[in-house]
Amino acid sequence: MPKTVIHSYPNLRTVCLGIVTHHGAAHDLLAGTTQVLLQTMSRGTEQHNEETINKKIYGTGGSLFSTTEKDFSIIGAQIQPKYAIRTLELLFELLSIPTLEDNHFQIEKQNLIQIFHQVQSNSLRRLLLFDADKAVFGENHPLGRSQIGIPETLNQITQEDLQETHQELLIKPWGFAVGAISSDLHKQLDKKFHEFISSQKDTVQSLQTFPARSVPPSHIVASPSKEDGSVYLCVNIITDSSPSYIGLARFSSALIGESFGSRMFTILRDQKAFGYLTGASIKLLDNVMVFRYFMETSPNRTEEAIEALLEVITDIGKKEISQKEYNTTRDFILGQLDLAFDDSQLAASKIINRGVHGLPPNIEAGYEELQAVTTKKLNQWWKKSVINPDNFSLAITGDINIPRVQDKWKSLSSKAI
Amino acid sequence: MNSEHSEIITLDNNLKLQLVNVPGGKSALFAVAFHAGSMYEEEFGTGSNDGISHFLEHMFFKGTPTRTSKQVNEEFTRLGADLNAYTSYDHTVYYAKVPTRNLHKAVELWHDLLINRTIDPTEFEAERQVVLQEIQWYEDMPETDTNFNVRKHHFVNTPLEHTILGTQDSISTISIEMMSDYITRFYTLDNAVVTLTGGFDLVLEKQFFTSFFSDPISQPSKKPIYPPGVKLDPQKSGISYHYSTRQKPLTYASLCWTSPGTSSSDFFPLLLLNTYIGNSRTSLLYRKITSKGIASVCRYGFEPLYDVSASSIFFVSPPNKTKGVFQKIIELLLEVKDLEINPQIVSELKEEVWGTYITEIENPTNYGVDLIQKFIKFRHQLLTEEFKERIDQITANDMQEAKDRLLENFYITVYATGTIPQDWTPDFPKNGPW
Repeated sequence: MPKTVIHSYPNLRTVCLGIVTHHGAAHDLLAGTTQVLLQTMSRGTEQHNEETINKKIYGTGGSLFSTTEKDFSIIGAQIQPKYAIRTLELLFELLSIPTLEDNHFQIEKQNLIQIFHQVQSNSLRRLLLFDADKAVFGENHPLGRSQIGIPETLNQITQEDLQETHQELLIKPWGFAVGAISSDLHKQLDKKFHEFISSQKDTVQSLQTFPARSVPPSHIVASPSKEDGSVYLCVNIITDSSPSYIGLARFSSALIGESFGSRMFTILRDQKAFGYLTGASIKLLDNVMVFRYFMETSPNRTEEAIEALLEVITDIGKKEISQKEYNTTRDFILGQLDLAFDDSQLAASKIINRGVHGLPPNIEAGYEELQAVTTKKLNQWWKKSVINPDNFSLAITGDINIPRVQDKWKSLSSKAI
Repeated sequence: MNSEHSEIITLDNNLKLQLVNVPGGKSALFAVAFHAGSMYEEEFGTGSNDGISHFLEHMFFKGTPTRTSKQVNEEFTRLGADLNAYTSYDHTVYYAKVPTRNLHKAVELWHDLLINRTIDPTEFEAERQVVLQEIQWYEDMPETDTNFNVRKHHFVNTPLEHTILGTQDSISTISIEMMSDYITRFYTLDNAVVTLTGGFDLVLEKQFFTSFFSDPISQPSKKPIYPPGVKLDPQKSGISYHYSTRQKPLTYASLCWTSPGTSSSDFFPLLLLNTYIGNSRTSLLYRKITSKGIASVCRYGFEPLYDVSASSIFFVSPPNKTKGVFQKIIELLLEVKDLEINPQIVSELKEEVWGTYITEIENPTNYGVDLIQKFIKFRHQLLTEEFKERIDQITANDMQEAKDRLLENFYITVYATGTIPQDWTPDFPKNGPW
């Protein structure tokens, strides 16, 4: 686990910096506590009130961000290099001595409840934020709950819960800074990070592991939303994670759905014209990874769309990937790696995600992982480790007939997988 | 900050090439914009070509005589491109960010699409379904629906009345002939701007681009074609209310007003006022509304055009709090009306505007698209350094006078959707600028 990661990209104009902690939403006893905490923390410290902090950061064109993922959290900022050190000092203050005033806490809690309702009104966001993880892990599993909580849990969170979570927040913290960093700034940042991280008592000896998921094979979470004129669906596959699989996982995701040349775009959008949205992503979580393949279609094509999407996903392993398609996908990933060097926030997010999940915290490592991917290895891995009804789940929302969709998914998935 | 090296060239065929080098960048953004968008659509009211600009945007990548649509997509994928496009009121932009090492291959592909693209009837019908589904997708999202509708009502009987996506009816009736006619009129080299930004050798790229895009055109015209002017009734004032009920648990509402366009000398001083009102955590919106928990989402929107700009405040609230949020926004507008602008405020706003700008344009896509947008909206090149100069020149007096003029004829349109509570319309006090 890294202590501090500093990457200098002299072509950039800003610095993205902050602290990563291995405490995430899945550690919450009451879902949403970490998210409320991070939002309340940004409201002021014992030394600086909110207005002063905002002037020092936003008033110079910078921005603060606090992100709660399932298994980690980030509190950081994007800022002009000349303000980097004072911003880092403010971030340390926000982490160490936030005031956590009760009125701010109540406001942030209510804000999250309102955001919950808002996300629920927006089908695709709801699908990806709530239903997809429920489908993969089960509704009550720590990794299956939404990171922003639900009104019932949010309403139960007390000031004591907030204080307690604050005490536990800094699990194995590490610092990151990416962007326009001179050698002098590099030294100063390194020293500041070192001082801060060394001053933290590492009370947690080992990272918490989560219980095994218990959902039936080909699990489905279906939420009707009759007001919507579209149907949104997301097929998920969960599989074991290991650094040796990363290259294969990245390759398969790009091949299936990440680009305009991907199979999902070509078949589902261009050829079959199911709808506007198609896409794929990978999420690393704890010791597993989750692939997501999402698309949109009209209500009268729901079953056809599920079948077509399953066919695209399960086709790997059945047929040899052509050399041309292999080359296209490899070149796409190589290009995308290059592009990350020109954006400090994008570069930082890639580096953090890698560092948190036990991978080398640099973008360059992606090139080596890709080199190890062959079509043979990909086919074997996909057939042996990925394609299994236990790994598959579906989240679906929109104008749907639930019993019909459930029956269809069971029969289609058992046939296809 | 890295300094820019730039060139602007007008070729014999009237194509404008804007090259801006960012030293050290590993990627390059190629963007092409046409003076074509929803403001250019005709026969509004019959629904016959409403949404054609956006439909055409979808058809742009559908192949040439030597490349099928699939091949075009595969080639961009192989170049590692981040490819995208959007349609606006006054322009349509296509862009791809690629690693610099793939720039020339990408440009060759763009050139083929610009000069030789075709419309295959099967592709046309398939994409019509995709566009219809996209309209449905946007309609499913109350936020976009609110923002489209508030402008539609505010700019009624002007070219801005068109929604960018068109309607299910209009998209269903657009034919290949109509699209071909639209292409002939607007998708010509003399009606386009090409922008290249990123890490490359300016001298070499200038030579390459100039030779590559020098295609002759049959009849160079006096293009670019600018959209029809937006003429609003100068005497119009007051407030108009519109709503549509939807089965959503929350209320989504927006207030829209008109402010000067990029052609006005008030434009830059009012950019500072925009920052004062929203959206950052130093803004009035944050201090008076979001930070107090009055609405979890409350955003300021700004759409600059040449003649006019559209400003708006959008919010989401539980139905029983909707009226209260409106009242807070009214208080906020009254505070803006009474605000005495002093040098301290201006100095702080300048720093924030400039800092925000350079943070936003660090992403090469944002930078390239920003440059091409400025070229279209100001009708001339506006580089980062000139932008900074224009901001630096603003005095407290400029901002005060621009603000006072803005509020002289202040007309507000209110639109709400979702759950509409009874007695939802706010009480605008008589001493306001409306």
